[in-house]
Amino acid sequence: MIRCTDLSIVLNHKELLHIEDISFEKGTIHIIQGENGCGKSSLFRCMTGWSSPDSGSCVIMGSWVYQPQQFHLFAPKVMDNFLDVELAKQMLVSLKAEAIINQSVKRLSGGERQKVALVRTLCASADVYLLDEPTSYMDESSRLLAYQLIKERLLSLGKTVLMISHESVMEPFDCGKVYFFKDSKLNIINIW
Amino acid sequence: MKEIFDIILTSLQVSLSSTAIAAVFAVPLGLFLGLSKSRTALRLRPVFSSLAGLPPVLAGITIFLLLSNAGPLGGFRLLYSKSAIITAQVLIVFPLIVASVYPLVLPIKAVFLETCFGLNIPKKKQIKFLISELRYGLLAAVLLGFGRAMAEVGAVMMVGGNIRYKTRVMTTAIVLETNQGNYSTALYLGIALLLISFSVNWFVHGLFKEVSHDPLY
Repeated sequence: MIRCTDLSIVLNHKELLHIEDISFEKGTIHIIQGENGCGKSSLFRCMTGWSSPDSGSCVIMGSWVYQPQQFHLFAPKVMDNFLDVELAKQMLVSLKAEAIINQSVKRLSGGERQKVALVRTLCASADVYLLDEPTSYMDESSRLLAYQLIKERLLSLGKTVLMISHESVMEPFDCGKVYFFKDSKLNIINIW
Repeated sequence: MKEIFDIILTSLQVSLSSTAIAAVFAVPLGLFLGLSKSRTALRLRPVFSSLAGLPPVLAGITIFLLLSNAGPLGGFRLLYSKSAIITAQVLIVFPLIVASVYPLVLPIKAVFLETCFGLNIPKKKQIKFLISELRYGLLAAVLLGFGRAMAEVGAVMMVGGNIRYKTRVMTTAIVLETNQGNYSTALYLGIALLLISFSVNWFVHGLFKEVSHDPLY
């Protein structure tokens, strides 16, 4: 479970976000949406401790893995990014991207880079997965395959997923919640 | 001819030694200065950038005063020895390598560190990944230092004394032969220096081959 209490992030003397008390229960997917610059990524950074909130706290109970929106792929080869290359290959097959395993990371397209980063994150073992726009550069079919992979590898094993996304991503998942940032507040807009 | 080979050998010996000693300390320091967010690191960066342009004569006079009989290290009797040349060259090459290494880290630092943090990669492994990532740049920085050490004249002349069969290196020999009017010998030595420089560059080019075949590099 993840709990944020009295969380406030101030940017340029203006309160970017304020969360009084919110809990993200485990074993499901929580999709966070909102306009550009509303503080979605900042929230993830505070949750993981990469940056500190101006007030309040955010606690993740259990181990976590975080994929930032702007990530780094370790060079020179795609396979250099995985500890368990076999597992990674299986996941890349699911994403129909097995051909890129031996490629140089510099030659990958934006969508392919995201596939590698997503597989690398999913290969890591944790209780909570924080994914910041993991599919924003992928085409429609790849995006659906990515959601399917998240469902199979994480949600079916009882893992908790927090995902920032601008897409309507409810369909592939059996249950979950959608939150929307408005006027610095995070509100639940859909539960299914 | 034997003397020329001796001079070339001495040149390579002192320059390789000084570059290796400087690189062992300068590369980790450069990586640290690039990665660190501390105020000290931020203040040290321009200091090393300035020291990269350190006038060699200044390094020479500093080492000369330290190693001369009246100096604090005079007891070691190192003046006019290969060790003195190596020390002076280390002083010149060290800030040059540091100043070439830390800017390599800056463009990838934020994203690299956040990615490693997100994946819970231990510090030691992060350093390993970073070195692997920057290996070509690091190699270029070290070779830049080697080139500087090989080309050094002023400081080497001052602390080495240009002693025949002992501390005479290619650059000081070229100066001496030119002053004595032996232009052909000076020219041969100059050509040898150039060939060594080309060899080093070819060697580096060979290492970069994998990269240069990729049109995106």
